[in-house]
Amino acid sequence: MTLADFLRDELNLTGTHLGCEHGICGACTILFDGEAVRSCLLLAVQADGANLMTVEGLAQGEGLHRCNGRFTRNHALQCGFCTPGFLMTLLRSAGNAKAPPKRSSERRSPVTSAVAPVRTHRAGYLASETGG
Amino acid sequence: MDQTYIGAPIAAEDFRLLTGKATFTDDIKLPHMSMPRFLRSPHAHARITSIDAARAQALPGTIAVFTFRTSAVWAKPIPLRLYPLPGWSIFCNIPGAGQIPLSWASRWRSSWPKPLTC
Repeated sequence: MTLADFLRDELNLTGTHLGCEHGICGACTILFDGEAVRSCLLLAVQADGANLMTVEGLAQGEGLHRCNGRFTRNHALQCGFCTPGFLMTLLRSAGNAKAPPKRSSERRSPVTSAVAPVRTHRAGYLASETGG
Repeated sequence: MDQTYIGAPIAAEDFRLLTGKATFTDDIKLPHMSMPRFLRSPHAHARITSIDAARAQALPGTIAVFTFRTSAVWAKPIPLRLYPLPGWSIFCNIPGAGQIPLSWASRWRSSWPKPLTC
């Protein structure tokens, strides 16, 4: 059983969504001991003893994480299906903020580079770029 | 009426979507819900001569196996409508419509089996 299926079906944490189920789309991204990973590519047993964080963990009580607040202010989501993957990927990036690339050939902003692994057919990620 | 929603952004769903609380179809769990699995031909261009579902049916947990043979009673031909399209004859009567070089319209038109009116 994959970690994604375990989260969704056994723990009923359905905030983690499955898109492609083979590691391409990134909708199922969660934090695994602080690293952003594709939960569809891991087996549940591999997570034994690990510290996991899903999108459900982002919201504290009725409050929103600052990432969530910026998403809603900047209209960074449409249908919202892949949004948990974006949030978790950005959270990993925010925890390891790097200096902007010095090379002028790097056209993408650090935020765009961070979410580039998440593929979506929606245009929301363009708005998320302005969320910082 | 002091509140208008026209032109005003409404982020009614955002909280649910951003906190993993939204309910998508795959998130719904109902009692006795079963899961379908689709088996498609591994060959891109082939003729199916027969389907033997006996082994699939015998698998533990299998509720039912549906093939075309069992579902033919509900299957109706899908209408294939190539032409005429509304307005097609009007388009054909536009001077030069048939001579537009390399346009999507002329290429599309030439790929049709039989022009209806022109």
